[in-house]
Amino acid sequence: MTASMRSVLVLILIGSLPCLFLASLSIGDADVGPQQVLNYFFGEKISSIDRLVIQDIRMPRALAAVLTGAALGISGAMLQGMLRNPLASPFLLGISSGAGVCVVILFALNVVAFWIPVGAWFGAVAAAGLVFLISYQRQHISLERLILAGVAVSSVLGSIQAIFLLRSDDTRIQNSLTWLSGTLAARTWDDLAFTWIPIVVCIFASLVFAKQLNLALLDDDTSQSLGLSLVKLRLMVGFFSTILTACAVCISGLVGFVGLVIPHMVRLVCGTNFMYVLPMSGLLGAVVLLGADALARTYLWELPVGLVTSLIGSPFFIYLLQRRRLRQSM
Amino acid sequence: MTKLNACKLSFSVEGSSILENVSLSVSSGEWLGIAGLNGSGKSTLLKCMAGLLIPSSGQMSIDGQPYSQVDHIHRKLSIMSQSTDVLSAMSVLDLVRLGRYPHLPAWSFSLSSIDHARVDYALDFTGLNDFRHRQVSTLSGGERQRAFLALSLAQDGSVLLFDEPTNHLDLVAQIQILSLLRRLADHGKVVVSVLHDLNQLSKYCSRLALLRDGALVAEGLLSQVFTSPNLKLTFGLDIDVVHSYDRLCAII
Repeated sequence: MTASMRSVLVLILIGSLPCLFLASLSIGDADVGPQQVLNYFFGEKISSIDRLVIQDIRMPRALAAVLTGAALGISGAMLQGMLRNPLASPFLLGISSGAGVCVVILFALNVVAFWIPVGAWFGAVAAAGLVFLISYQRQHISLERLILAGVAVSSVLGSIQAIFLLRSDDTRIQNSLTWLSGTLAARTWDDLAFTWIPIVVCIFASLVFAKQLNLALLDDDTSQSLGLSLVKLRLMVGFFSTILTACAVCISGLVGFVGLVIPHMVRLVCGTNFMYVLPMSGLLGAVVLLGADALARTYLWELPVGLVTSLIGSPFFIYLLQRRRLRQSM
Repeated sequence: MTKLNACKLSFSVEGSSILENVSLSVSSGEWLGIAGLNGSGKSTLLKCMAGLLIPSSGQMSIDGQPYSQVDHIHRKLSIMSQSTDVLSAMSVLDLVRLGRYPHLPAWSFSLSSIDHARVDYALDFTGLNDFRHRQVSTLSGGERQRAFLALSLAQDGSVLLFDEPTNHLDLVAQIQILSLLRRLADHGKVVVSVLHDLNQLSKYCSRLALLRDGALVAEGLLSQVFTSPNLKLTFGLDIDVVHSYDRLCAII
């Protein structure tokens, strides 16, 4: 893809973000449409109920989608580069199972809803920390150990999660499953209060690693001879992607697909340079999740957004892969 | 004029000795070949020379300065390892551009005109100008090896290290790569490579280091080291060395 085509695509993506944001504010059960939303933004007269719906119900939800999508997209792109593994996702390092087990336990103990995202955050960070601790050996972090430790920790925590789910009553099981599927329903400003700053800071901090991640595409010896410190990169990328994912999980539960597939979609279009891949993954992640959430709300009954991203995004991704294969065979 | 020195290098892992008391030196315009049996410590020696492994004792120095005291060591040394794999669909041009990263200022993300000129030179030198937009994964073994050689060249170091650069290549591709390395040495670079083929060593290298069980059997000018007794000590085989067409040849 030429640089000019890439620029056009970036402009389309940047343009689609505010359009989808406005669309997201205009969709929902309450009879508040695009006209009221435009009136709200241009400071024209609007009823107090319409203002409440736009400002306190739909806007935090739309912002939650943008933050979660951007965080998962960038986190996935960084981890795929750092782990040199196209199957890596933000949930590979035990983050999802750490968050999941904490949330299921908290639901089982009937803890106040406020503590659910807090528990998810600590569960995610603790599980990822444990994975890194296991894989750190003699001042070196081997990728193989990192991935295997992630699989082992996820397996143990997944089993504990299943035990608690099996012993819970129906309501708690349904609450847990809704959260585990990833949902943006009923998000409020309080849900974003403690997460938006770390997400924004980590997104900008992550962009600094673009050069190092480009070098990490090479084998260890060559990349180190070009000045890359592998341990430092693995620890820093692990840290920032864990914080990004933990904050995303804290807001929306376990939204699959975005962190795994969005970086692939970006690479199919933009190539391998992380100077483009990282910001574009964040941008596309935000656009996709915002769109998926709007779609999830227009259905007869509201679906968890994580299911919508997987159901619609995966076939589209398969289509992109087929197209690339066809182009390469010509 | 660059001079690379290894002084009494030893390297061990969990009490097991890989290298023992290895000392050697190589200067600009010279090509040092390293040979020995599998497991004799060749790659470990090369990694110590590249600064990728820190020796248990002894030290590496360049122009008399220990590596630890050299600023921007990655601008002076480059290594081409045995692996020429890259993750995902990277173009040859993007690959070679990575060689300029040690020269970028910490907060700079784009290449300068000097960087672009060096990348063009590296592609031209390795004959890959027409391949610059091809994906690395679609190249043949020999082309891929040349792409990685171009990456090393773009790094613009005075010392170039190669771990079995002819591995898995057909005869023509082997000779292409070795001729390029010879040209680099003739251009004043310090070239060090691990090679298995004794006749290639004798044809292209000017110095030779023979290793057995992590220790040096002999090191020095090719004409002095490439002898039947030294090869017997290194490989445990009876190898005749004969003069043919003004160079030494090994006959097994």
